[in-house]
Amino acid sequence: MASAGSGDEKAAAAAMITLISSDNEKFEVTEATATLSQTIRHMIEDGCTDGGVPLPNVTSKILARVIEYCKKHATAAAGEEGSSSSFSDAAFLEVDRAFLEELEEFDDAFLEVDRATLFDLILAANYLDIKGLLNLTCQKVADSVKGKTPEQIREMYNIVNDLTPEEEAEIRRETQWAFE
Amino acid sequence: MLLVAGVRSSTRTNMARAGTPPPMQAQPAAAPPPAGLSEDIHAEILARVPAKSVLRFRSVCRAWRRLTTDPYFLAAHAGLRPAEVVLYRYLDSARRENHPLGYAVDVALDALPVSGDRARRRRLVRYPKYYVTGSREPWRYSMPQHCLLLASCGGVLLFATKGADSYLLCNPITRQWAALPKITDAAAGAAGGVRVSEYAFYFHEPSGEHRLLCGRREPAGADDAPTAWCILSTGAALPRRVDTCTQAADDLRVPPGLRHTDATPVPLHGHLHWPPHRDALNRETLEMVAFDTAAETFHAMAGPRVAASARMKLFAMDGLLVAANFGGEEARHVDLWFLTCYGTADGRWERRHRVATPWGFGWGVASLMATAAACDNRGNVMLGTHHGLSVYNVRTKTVRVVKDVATGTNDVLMSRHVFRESLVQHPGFRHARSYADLPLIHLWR
Repeated sequence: MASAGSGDEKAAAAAMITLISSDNEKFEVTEATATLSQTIRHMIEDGCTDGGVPLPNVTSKILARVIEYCKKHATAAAGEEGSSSSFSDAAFLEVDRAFLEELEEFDDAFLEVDRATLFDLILAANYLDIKGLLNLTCQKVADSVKGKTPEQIREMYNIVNDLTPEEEAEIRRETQWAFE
Repeated sequence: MLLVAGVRSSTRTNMARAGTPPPMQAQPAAAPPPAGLSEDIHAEILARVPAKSVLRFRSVCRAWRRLTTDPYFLAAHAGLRPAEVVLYRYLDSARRENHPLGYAVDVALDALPVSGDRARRRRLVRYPKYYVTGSREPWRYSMPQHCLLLASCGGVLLFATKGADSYLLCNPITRQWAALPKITDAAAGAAGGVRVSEYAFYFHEPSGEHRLLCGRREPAGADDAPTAWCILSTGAALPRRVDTCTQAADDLRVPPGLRHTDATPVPLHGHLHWPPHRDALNRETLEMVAFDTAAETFHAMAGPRVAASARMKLFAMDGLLVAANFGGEEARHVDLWFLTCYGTADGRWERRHRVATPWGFGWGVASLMATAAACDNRGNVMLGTHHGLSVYNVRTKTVRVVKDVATGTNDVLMSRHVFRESLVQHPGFRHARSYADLPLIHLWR
């Protein structure tokens, strides 16, 4: 644990964090943006972000996109905290609907990527422990596979069917109504 | 670590067993690159897929079969399912067993997501209706064979059936069912003519059992309050008597039974909660009854402070108890009250949202029995009846009208029940393989 004093000094100095991608590209982000990642939040709490945070599992291409997501959503999170502190009888506080709509549009546009990029984003969201991004990207994949047949899934994801014909027949019998 | 790049889940497990390196060369040349996602991520994705697809995907490969039958996965999957409100749809029936009357009516239970997405509405089950609509004395024309939906608990529906001496529990998604014995006079510890009513149907997490709380009333008693309580359970062959009486509970209002209630009790923090009602003595305050499912005792809780008319329904949202106040007959909005700091001295009801009800007059005359008040995990709250239905979002604070669901003329009625599909395997449930297993409840169309 670093001493409390030095931590405070750092916080006062604009609190910027440097993230380093696997291909050694450096990204400077605010602490508010970086701490959407639980992994980085813990590193900051442990005081081990001096000299930058190396992220050997994330390429600069993906990291740039992840940071783009975090910047947008950090603004949203800051707004939410501000409004939830003052719940009173008439919590009829105006919400910034325009911003919420903008955020939704951002998320939709953000997911307009090819499958390989989407999977890379999932891996990065998982590694960096960014709940919102993991949920968003996994839901996108889930929506694309639901309703498909096992044959279509195997083809889409290049999965080898290692079930014996007997095993497959038995599972089909047990879940027959799901194929109706 | 989770990140196992370049290896598919299906082969990774086999490799782990055999101790061989990843067979990257096994990929067909034309195939897309392997997903490179670990099994944990496969689980994250599959937990967001509807139950029917999960069942289908069991035959994709061994890894997916194991993953999609894992109890932890199934619990996580159930937790992510969007809540749906249950609708009754009345249909002509061709059931032979009900032919003595010359006509018969079936009820189909449809589920509509709380988000109001009508494209995702779907059929759950179909069963013969309790009585015939349109009859002047409907209670006299109960069909020879019928079911009555009493409650819904997650993905399990509770039916009372006529003729059979048991309650039926049915998970329409897994097509599994269980029976609970009806309470006989002997089991209720009485001579005869005793009336037994159902009060709450809930899942008891520590035991993994579904339970039904029943109250026994003496025949022709002036007071309708039950004189004894017992619990039926999927884990026990016989009803178990419970002593719910505590000194503090003597003045408690007895909650309404499942057949007569506006809103079925809402489970949260190991307690069941009935909607707040006006205290008979102190008109200023609203009081709630709660049942501790561990100690098996009733106790009182404070309700919101509402000066004007209060007609409330409860639901739980993001771990908080919410009371939706539909107000008086001419109310044009529904207030949403949230209980913060549950179970502590700081516990306080806060009015956080006021939802305009665009359908205006008319709905007020409808019984709260056929009124939806439910939420999902995306901030949506569905409120309304067949006079008008809207979805309010607590995050965006916007309200949307959902049209053409129950119109009052299309033989569709809102129910008070909320369904959440679940593939979780519960002990005591059996597979319904054919019509013979569940002759009254149709899972097959």
